[in-house]
Amino acid sequence: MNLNIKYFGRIVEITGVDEERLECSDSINLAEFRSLLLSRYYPDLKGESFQIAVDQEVKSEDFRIDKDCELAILPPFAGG
Amino acid sequence: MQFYHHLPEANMLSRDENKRYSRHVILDKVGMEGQLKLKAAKVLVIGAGGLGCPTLQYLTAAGVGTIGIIDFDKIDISNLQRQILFTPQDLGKNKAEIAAEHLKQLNEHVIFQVYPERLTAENALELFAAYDLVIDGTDNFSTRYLVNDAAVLTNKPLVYGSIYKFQGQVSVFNYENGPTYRCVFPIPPKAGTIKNCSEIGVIGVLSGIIGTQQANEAIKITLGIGTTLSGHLLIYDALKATYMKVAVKKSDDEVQKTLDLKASFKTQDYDLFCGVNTAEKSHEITGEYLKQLLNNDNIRIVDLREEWEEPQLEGSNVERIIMSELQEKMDRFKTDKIVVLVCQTGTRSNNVKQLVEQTLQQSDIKELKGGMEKYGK
Repeated sequence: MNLNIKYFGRIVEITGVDEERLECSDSINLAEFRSLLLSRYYPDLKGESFQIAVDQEVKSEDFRIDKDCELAILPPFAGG
Repeated sequence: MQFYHHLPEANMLSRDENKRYSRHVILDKVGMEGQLKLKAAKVLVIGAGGLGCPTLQYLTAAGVGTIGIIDFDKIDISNLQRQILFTPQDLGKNKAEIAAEHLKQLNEHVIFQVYPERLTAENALELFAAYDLVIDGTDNFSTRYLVNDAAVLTNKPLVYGSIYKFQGQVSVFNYENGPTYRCVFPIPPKAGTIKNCSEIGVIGVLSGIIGTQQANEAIKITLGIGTTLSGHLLIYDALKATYMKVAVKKSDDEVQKTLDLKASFKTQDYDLFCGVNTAEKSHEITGEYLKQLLNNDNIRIVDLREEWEEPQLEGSNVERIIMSELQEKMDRFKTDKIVVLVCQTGTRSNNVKQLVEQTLQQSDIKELKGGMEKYGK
C-alpha cells in the first residue's frame, strides 16, 4: 500500500521534505509505523513529540493501517 | 425618557454602542442579544505578543465587555514586524500595559484588567476563575501546559493558537466535554532543541492570521453560534495557502491526570516537565507530578529500589539502578536529561542525590517526595 506522508513544523527540519510517498507491503499499526520511521528513515526523530493523523484523524498507537492513506506528522508549535 | 442612555448598564447598550455595533446587531446570528452577550463576557488573553495583539484588537473592536491582559515582557523593536498594536514610542515598556493603553483608544466601552506579570502556577487559578474564557497567546511549551491545566482545573474553555515559521495551529480545548491540550499533545517535545520566534524566525502576517482566528473562536463560543474547533486541530500553511483540519479525541486519562494535580497545583514545576531544569526550584517532586513525567524523554527516572519492592513503577523513561550498582553506573547520571530519583520512602533517594551531586559536581537532581510508599495514595 502507498502511504502519503505530510510533515509539519520542526519535523520538516529533520526530514528535509514536507511530503513524501512511502511504500509498505504489510499492514502495520501506528506504533510500528513510528518505530519504522525512526529506525529506517529518520533516526533524528528520536525524542521528538508528534501525533499521527490518518486521513485527517489523529489516531492512537494501536490503530492499524491496511490501505492507501495520507499520514500527517503533527508536532506541537510553541511560538506566539 | 431618554435618560438611561447616559447611564449604560451591562444589560443594555448606550446610544454610542448601538451605532458602533450596528453591523453586528443586524446579523441574524448576533442581534442585540448577542451583542449584550459580548458585552457581558470576560475574556483573558495570555500574552500580548504576535497572537495576543491581533486577538485583542478584534475582541476590543467587537465589544467584549471585560478583557484581561497578562504579559510580563517588554516591547522590543524586533516585535514590531508582527505585533502591529505597538509603535516605536512603546519600546522598552510593558506589553500588557501598552496594549491596554492603545486598545482603550480603539474602544472606550471595554474594561481592561492589566497584569504586567508572569503567569505562574501560583497566580493562574485565581486569575482564570475571574474570566469566562481564556486565550493562549504564549510562546513556550512550559506556559502552554500551565495554561491548559489551569483552564481544566477552573473549567474554562481555552482557545489555542501557536505558530512556527510559516505554519500555525488553532483549536478550542476544554469546551463542551471536548479534548484538552494534553489530549492532543500529551508529551512535550525534546528540550534543548526548542527555540522561540527570536531564534527561528516567523513570518509576521501569520500572527495576524492565527490570532484573528482565535478571536473568531472566542466570539463564537461567547455568542453560542456556529461550530467551534473543539475536537479539531486546524493547521494553516502560509506558503501553500492551505488549511488542514484534523479530528482529535479526548483522552479521559490525560484529563484525569490534570484533575489529580488540583491539590498540589501551585507547586507544579512546568519548566521541569518540559525539560528545562532550574536549580533554584524545589528538588522534591510529588507523586501526582511523577505520573506526568512518565514516558517523557526529557526526564530520566531512576528507580533505586530492588526488583521486589512494590508498587512497581513503569514507563519508557524509567530505569532501575539498585544501590549496589551505584558506583559502576554513575555514568547514567551524567546526562542532559533531568534526573529524578525514586525509592521506597525517600531515604535512599536523598542519600544518592547527595552522593551523585558530590561525585559529579552538580546540584540539580530531583527526587520523589516521600518515596513510592506515598505514590498513588
